[in-house]
Amino acid sequence: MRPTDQVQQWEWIEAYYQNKLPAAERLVFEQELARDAEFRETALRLQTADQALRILSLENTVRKTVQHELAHSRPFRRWRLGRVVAAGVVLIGLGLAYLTFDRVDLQIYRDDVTLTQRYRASGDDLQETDLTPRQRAFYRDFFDAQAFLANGQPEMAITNLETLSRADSLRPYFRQAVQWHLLNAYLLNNQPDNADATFQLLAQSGEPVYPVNRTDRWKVWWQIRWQKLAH
Amino acid sequence: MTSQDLQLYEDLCSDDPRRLAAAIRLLTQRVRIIARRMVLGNSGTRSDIDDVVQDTVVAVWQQMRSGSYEVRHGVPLDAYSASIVRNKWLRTLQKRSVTVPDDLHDSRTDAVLTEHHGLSDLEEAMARLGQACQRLLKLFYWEGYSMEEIAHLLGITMEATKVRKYRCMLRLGEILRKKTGPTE
Repeated sequence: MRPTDQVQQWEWIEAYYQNKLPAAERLVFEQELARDAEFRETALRLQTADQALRILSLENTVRKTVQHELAHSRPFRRWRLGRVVAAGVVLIGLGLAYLTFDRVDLQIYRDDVTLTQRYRASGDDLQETDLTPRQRAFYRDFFDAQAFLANGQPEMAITNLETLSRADSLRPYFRQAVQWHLLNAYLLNNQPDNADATFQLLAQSGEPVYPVNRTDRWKVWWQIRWQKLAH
Repeated sequence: MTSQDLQLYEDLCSDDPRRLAAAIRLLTQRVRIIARRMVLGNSGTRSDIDDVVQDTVVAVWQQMRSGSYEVRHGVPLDAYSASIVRNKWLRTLQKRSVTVPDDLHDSRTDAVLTEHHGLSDLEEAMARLGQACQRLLKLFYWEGYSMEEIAHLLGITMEATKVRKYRCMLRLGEILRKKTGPTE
């Protein structure tokens, strides 16, 4: 029997297209469909809407699932990116630590020591005519300064090197050698301003003839700034 | 199509949301592998992959759901997905005015060029309903709330909720039937 109440009638239609009506009642429903065009139109609209809403609901499930699945795979990518960033930070940290704490190695420091030792030895053993007294004094003071640096006495080295750097007649090679050693001594003695001033002097002294490794130049530049920050 | 593909196809056509979701997850993983190779190999970046995957999975599902997809023995589902991925990526490149590689162009011939517009019609019809109707119907069909729960959420009686729901459905049915024409 077709319900007379409007809501109940809609529910009856819904029960029909959801196959929830018993066979006898389905027969009654179909007779009503055939008899009443307005009822038929209502039933068709409800059924069309129900089908559309179910499909849209499934599509919503599809979109949500894809988004969830793609988002789920992102943490792995983020983790991978995170590893790259962490490795980069560690590398930068190691690089800065190296620049900050590694001593500036004047590449030919050992050569200088050998050279000055040779000159000094020659001064002792050979005739004095080989070297002028000024040259002999220069090599002696320079060798002593290197020895002070090697023995961890930068303040003593500074005294010698500052005196040598004031000499007028030094060839460019020796002037730059003295300045680099002085700069190194200043850094070892925590005098970044003096080291910076010497670094500037070296930069202005034209073509570098006393060879210093590029990495050591970076170290000097960075250590000056680091010591200034620390002070 | 392998037996695995056939099982996936059946699950994708299922009305059971859980079964469908499981199938979509599997399809997404497979499409992602295809899209990554296609996009990164043709002027794309990693950020483009997700968009292509999303569009492709939805398109494959729509084609299957609408019956446009034909199950053919010997033709793997991945080949079909790849043709849609190619098609989607080709369009993206064209929109960006990027020169499209020849091999990507050639593949258009076997790509699925016709897209199923039925769902967009449904979405359009849904959008024409008022916000109140959309909310009520989504609560019932999308979120799976019972009529009692919806009545409680809306702060109205159960009877009023039912009346609203059926009226909204009648309106939606009317829009859709006008769009497609009566098919008694």
